[in-house]
Amino acid sequence: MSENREVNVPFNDHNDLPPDVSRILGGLNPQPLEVNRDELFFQAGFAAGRSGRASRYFWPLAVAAMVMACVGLGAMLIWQARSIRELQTELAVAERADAQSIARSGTTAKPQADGERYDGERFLINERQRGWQRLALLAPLPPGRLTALGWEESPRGLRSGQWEMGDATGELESSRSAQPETAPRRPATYLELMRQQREG
Amino acid sequence: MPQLTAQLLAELLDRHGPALKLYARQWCHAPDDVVQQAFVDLAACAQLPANPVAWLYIDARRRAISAARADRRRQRHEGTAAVKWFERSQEQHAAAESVADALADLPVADREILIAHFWGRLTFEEIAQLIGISSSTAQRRFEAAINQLREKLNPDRINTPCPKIEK
Repeated sequence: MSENREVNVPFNDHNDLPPDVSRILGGLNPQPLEVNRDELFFQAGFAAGRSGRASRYFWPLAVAAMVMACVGLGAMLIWQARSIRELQTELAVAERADAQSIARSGTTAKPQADGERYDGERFLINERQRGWQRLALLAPLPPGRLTALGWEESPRGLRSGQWEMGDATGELESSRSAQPETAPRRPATYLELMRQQREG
Repeated sequence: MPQLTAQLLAELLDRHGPALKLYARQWCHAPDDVVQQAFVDLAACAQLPANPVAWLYIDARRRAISAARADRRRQRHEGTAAVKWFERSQEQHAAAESVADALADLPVADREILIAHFWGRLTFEEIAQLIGISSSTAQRRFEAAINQLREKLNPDRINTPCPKIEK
């Protein structure tokens, strides 16, 4: 390509043409470009800025990742709410079951027929619920006394050292030996507590 | 990596805008839009082409042909707008009109080579790359176009042969 291009140079410097044609054609200049120069430069700058970025796909990818994260977190939230609702249902069923059936189902591994009263609720009692029941059977009661409102824990300052330091069976034995024969027997577990509450 | 600066863009626009417009006019009726889009395309290039002028001609040609395909009024436009190809002063009015008519009678393949070489000042190698032919074919077509043009413009000098062009 020739290097001697100049602005508004007449097009008559072609030495490889016949002089008559060169003279005629060289005397004619193409019509000037009729474009909005500001608009052209704006569009050129916009195009250069848009294509020159190395991180051309950064924002689309970031948006896609955020959408995927939102969908995942939403699904986790729904699943968590459903599992909490199921657990609450199971706990409610376990609360309504009487102590007898709880004890039976806790001591025996296989499910038993508990009679007509609980036939409608038995489908909810699965292995996880029986685990909860076993825990309820074995869990010791904190020091306190049985009242009409339920089990009232004794204040920490009034507890004897033996109760605080000893294990559940030690506490039970010491409390039984300290109490007179006529006093109501202190329940050792939640199961006994529920039975006593049921018997009044 | 060379970048297209605003100064270089303005320089290219001033030097080659009119010739590009004339070149794009061979196909479409809105050459200004085609040339403007060609310059925008050049600015959008991540890397400045080695020969930006030839690149502009290639892009303008592609865009002009695409525009012509979409333009149903092209044939009607060619007949009416040929006289507007060149700037016309009072004394050049007749010459411009006759040259425009003579150019309009040339085949498009020959006419684009003539315009690209004469007003666009592309070499035959660049024209060959632009059109997709060999440089010798481009030169041969150019000579044929010049002879046809001479025949139309100067009927009394038909016997004078066109001199052999040196590359």
